[in-house]
Amino acid sequence: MNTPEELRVVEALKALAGDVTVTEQDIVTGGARLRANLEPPKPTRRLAVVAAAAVAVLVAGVTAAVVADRNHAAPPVDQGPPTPAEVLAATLKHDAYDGSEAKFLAGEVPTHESLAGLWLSRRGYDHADRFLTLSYNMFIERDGDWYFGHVEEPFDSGTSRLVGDTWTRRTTYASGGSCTGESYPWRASLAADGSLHLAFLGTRVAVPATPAPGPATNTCGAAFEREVWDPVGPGSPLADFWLASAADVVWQTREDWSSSDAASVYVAPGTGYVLSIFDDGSYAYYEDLVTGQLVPSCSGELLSGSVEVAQTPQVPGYFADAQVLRFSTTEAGCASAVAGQGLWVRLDSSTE
Amino acid sequence: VARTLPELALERLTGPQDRTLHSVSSTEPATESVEAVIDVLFRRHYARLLRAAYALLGAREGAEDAVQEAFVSLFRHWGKLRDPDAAEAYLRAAVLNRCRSSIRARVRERTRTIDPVLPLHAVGSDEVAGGREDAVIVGTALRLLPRRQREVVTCRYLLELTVAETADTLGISDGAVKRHTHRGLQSLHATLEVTR
Repeated sequence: MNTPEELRVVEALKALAGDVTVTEQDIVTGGARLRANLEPPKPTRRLAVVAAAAVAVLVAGVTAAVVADRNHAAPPVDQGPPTPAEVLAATLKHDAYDGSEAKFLAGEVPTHESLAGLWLSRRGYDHADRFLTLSYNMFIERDGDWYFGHVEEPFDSGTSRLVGDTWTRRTTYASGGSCTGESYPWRASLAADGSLHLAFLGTRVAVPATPAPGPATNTCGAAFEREVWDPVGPGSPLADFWLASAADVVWQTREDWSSSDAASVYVAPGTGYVLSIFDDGSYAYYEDLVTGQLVPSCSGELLSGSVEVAQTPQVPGYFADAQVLRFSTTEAGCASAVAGQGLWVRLDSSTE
Repeated sequence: VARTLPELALERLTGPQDRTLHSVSSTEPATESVEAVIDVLFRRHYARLLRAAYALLGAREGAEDAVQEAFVSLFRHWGKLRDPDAAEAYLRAAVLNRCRSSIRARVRERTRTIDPVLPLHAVGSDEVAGGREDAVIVGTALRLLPRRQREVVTCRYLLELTVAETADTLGISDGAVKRHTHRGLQSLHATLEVTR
C-alpha cells in the first residue's frame, strides 16, 4: 500500500478516535466510579494450590492413558482389504520414536521451502506432560516464523532459523508465558514418509524474557527429546487417510450449526487449505500456506448454516480419531469459499 | 530511603516534587498508596484507553466499562507487577482482553437472537450523513477484521504505540506486528475504496 492510501486510513482512524470526547468532568466522574470499585486484593493462594492440584491430576491421567495405549498388543490380522487406518499405519515410519538417533534422523535435510506449511504432531512420545491433547498443529512460514494452534491467536509462536540440518526454534510468545524468550535447537530431517523428525540438541538457551504483566516464570523445559510432525497437505498420507475414511463414516446433520461452538484449526485434505475458527466464532480462511507469510485469504464474523459431522477412526499408535465436517451455507463470500472445500478435518478433536 | 512499589511508581509518574500533592508517605497504608498511583494513571490514560476500547466495541458505554474493569484489575493485581513501569502495559492488555470478552459475549448473544450476518455495529444513515464517512466506515470495518489485525491496528493508531510496544502488549513478534498492520490497513483501505 502506498503512502497516500495509508494516510487516508490513518486519518480515518484518528477521526474515529476523535469521535469520543473526554471532558474533565468525564474523568472526574470516571475516577469517582473507579474509587468506589476499588477493594483490597483478596488472597489467591488457596485457589492457585487447588488449580495446580487439578492440573497435576489431569496430567497424571493423560500420561497414564498414553502409556497404557502404547502397551497395547498389535491388532489381530484382518482377512479383508486393509482399512484406511491400516494403510496409513503401514505407510508411516514405524519406529519414529525408537532406535538410534542416526536411524531416527535418516532422511533428507529440510530447506525453508520444505518446512513451510502445516504440520500435525504424531502421537507416540511422552508429550502429554506439556500438551493435554494428543495431537496439535504447527504452522511454519517460509521466513521461519512458526505458530502452534492458530496463526492469528497462537498458544505458542516464534521465529526460527535453519542452518544446515539444525533448526532452532525460538519462542517469542507463549500463552502460558513460561517459554517466552527461549530457543530450542533441533537436528531436523525429512523422513521417507514425508514426516519431519526433530531431535533435541542438548541444553536449551535461555535469554531474558520479554517484560510482561504478572510474575516472571522461567520454568519451561525441553518437553520432548524427539518430535515427529506429519504433513497434512494434499497427497500426504494423512490427507489420503482422511479422504478415504470419510467415505465410510456415518454423517450426522446439524441444521443450526454456528462456528461459535467450534473453535479449532481445520484442514481441507483435498486442497490443504486451512480454516481457523476462534473462540468468539469469527474465522479466517487460508488458501496459501507455503509461498510467503500466512495471511487469511478472507475472514468473517461467524459461520452459520448446515453442517454434517462425523468421526474418522483412530490410527492406533499414531493418531486419535478426528472430527470431520461438511458445511453448507446460503451466504456468499468467505463462507461460500469455506463451504466449497467440502471435507474439513478438525485437528484437535481427539476424544481420548 | 527505600521506596515501596507504589511510591516508586508515583515518583516516576509525577516526579518527587508532586508527592506531597498526593499525600503519599512511607507511613501510609499500602492500599492508599496504590490508590494514589491508580488515580494518576487514570487521569493520564483514561481518554486514550477509552478511545481504543470504543474503536473495538463501537459503543461508549461498553468501552467505559472495559476501561473501568482494567483499572480495577490493575489495583487488585498491583502486587504482582514486577516494575511500576509495567502498569501502563498491563492496562493496555487488560482493556484489550475485556474488549475481546465483550465481543465474544455479543457474538454469542447475537447468534441466539438476531440475524447472525449483521455486523456488531451497524452504520446508521445519520452517521454517514454527518460528513464523517471515512471514520464511520473504517470504524465498522475495523471491527470486522480478524482479531489480531484489529488489535494491532488499534494499538498502533489509536493507542499510538510503537511496533515494539504493540508486540509487548499483544505478546507477538515485531515481524508479526508489521505483518498484521500491513494486512489490516490494506483491508481497511479496500473497504474505503469500495464504498467511495
